[in-house]
Amino acid sequence: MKKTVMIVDDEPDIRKTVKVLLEKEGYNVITAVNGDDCLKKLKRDRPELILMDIMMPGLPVKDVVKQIKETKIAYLSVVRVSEAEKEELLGQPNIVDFIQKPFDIQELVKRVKKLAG
Amino acid sequence: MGINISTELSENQTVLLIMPSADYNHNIVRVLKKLKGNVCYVTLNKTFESLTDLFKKNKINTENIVFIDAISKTIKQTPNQTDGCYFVSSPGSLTELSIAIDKFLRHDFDYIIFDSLTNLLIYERKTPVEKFVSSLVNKIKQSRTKAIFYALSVKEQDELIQETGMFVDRVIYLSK
Repeated sequence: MKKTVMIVDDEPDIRKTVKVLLEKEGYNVITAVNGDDCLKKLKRDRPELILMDIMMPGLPVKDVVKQIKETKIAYLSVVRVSEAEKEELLGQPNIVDFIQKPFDIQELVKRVKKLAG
Repeated sequence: MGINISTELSENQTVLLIMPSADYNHNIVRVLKKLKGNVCYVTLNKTFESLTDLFKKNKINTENIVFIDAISKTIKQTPNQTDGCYFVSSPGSLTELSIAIDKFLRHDFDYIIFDSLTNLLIYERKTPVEKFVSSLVNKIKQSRTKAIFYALSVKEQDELIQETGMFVDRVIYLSK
C-alpha cells in the first residue's frame, strides 16, 4: 500500500514541485495551504509524514503542531534558527526533522524515504 | 558589495537595499559592520538567537543593537521581551510591529534596519504592506533615525519593490 505524505506550505510552487516529485517516488501526496487547512484535512486523512513549512499565514505553526499527536512532522524552514533552537524544535514529541529551504530535491526525497518509509 | 553604506546614509535618511538571496547573510553583516551608533534591528526571517549567533561569529558587537524579532514567537514559546530583544507575535501582526517600532523610534536610535520587506508579503497582501511601509517611512522621516530596508530581488515582488522605492530616498540594487 502506498504511503501518504502531506505537504503543508503556503507557496504553491513548493506544494506542486514536492507533490510531483514524491508521487514519482510512489507516494500518495496530499497538500494543505496552511495550518488550518492541514488540521481540517487530518480529520479525514492519516499521512505517515507531514512536511510542514514553519512560516505560514494563519494559525501559528507552533499551535498547529500541538494539535497533531500521532503523525511525524518534518519542518521545512526558510526561517534561519540557531543550532540550539533547532535542537529545541526537534525535541518536541513528533517533530522528526528540520529541513532548511532552499533544499536539494534529492536530499529531500532521501529524508522522506527515511522518515515515511 | 560595491556601495559605501555610510556615504549613502549620510546623504539619504531612508535607503532600500535590494539583494540576491545568495549573498544575503554576507551583505547584512557587511552593512552592520559599517554602522557606528545604536541600531534597532527588525528581523522577519531569522530568530533573534540565530541573528546574534551570526553577528557574533562575524565579530560584530551586539551591545549597541536592540532587536525586534517577529519570528521566534511563531515557532516556539517566547517571552514578550528579553534583554536586548522585543518579540512580536508574527510578521503579519503589522499593528503590533508598528507599535514596537514606534517605541524604539522615540528612543532616538541612530539606525533602524528592517529585514526584510520580502517577508512581510508571506503574511499580508500587498496593499496593507504598502500602507505599513509608507506609514513607517513617514514616522522615520519625523525622527533623526536613518533607515535601511532590505528586500530580496525576486521577480514576484517587483511591484512591491517599485512601490516602496517611491517612499524611500534611495534604492540600491546589489548584484552578485
